[in-house]
Amino acid sequence: MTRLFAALALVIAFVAVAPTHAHAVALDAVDAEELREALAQAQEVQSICYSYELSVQDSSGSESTNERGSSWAPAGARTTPTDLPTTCVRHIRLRATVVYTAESSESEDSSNYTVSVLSLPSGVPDHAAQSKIQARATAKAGSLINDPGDAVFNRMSEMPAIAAEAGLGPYLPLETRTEPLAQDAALTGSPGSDFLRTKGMTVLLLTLCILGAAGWATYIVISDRAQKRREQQRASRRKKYRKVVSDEEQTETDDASPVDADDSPKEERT
Amino acid sequence: MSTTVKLAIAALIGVVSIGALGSTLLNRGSVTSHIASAYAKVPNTDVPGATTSTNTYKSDQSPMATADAIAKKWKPAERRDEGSGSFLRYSDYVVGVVPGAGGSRITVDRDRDGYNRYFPYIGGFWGTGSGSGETFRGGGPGVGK
Repeated sequence: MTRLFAALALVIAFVAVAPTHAHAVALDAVDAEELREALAQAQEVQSICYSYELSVQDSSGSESTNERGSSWAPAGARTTPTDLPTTCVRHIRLRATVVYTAESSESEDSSNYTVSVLSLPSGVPDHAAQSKIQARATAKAGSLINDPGDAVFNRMSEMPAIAAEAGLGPYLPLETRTEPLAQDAALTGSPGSDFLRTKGMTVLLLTLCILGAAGWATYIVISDRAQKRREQQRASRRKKYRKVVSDEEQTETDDASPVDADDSPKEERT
Repeated sequence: MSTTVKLAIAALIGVVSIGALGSTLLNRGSVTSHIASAYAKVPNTDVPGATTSTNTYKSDQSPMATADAIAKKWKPAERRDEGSGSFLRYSDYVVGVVPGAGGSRITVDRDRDGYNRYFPYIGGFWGTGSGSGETFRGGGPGVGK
């Protein structure tokens, strides 16, 4: 048992000190190019230019990185406001920052998104448009820490939909397939139970309430019985004590009576 | 508080919890029944490649808002929001919410049919397959690379 606890403690210690975040390059070239193509399509339909900048600052020893992408320039190219296509009426820019602290530091890793919307060609911030997309565009900032590249890729992929939802541009035309899937195409992974995913927590909480109520009722009954038993025992002890006291008093009375009886006959003889 | 009162409270909590749990388990429902009851059914005439198991509905809200409403009621296993619409994956179904007349159009397909229909957007993210179609992007960060 001692060895088991020691082994468990070692495992827990290992997990606790093991690095929990990736230090690799965030977006590889293929993913960055895929993203650029998707954003370029969105730009063509919506007349919105999209760009992103991902800054990863790593104090734990790995290199810090800074990655950029846009819908109009090759992936990784640094852009300036003068590079923006004249066909765009707005520029939506996402800045993501991740800071990994050293293992010995007491500070925690942190991450955040900022989104800005600029009217073009003036470059003036469009605060009204920004407020419409801000909440959605900057949600789930915590996922940046675990995988910055994945988080930025997904967030930028959603950006044209977020912009369309906010009324900044139209939705893109839908492309669907009508021919059957290729042999190598198949859904992977198991989605699990829809019911448990949606209502699993409710079922768990209700079950805990039922068990808790049953446990509490059992405790009430047991402690009530124990209390009654203690009171009975106390009453019984009191009764015994009173009997003993009563017997002692009786004995004292009996002891006192024979002394008076002896005196009377002596006086008569005298 | 007397023992009787405590027992009564415990019994009340237990009975209410049992009732709620029973109701939850008996009225399980499904995402398909929820969509069928919440949205108006429309013919599949505008849905290219619709199969006999495809069901189409319409919503007055925008695609993302409609997808949010469905996801709030029935949490999807996966979700993708693209410039062309929102796509939700459930255990046996794929739900696509795309712009439509007056708001949005909802298609409910069996999982393989839905994966086929929206392959340009979910192909590689939710499964495997080589691309075809102008917008196929090969599945996102680090997938199949």
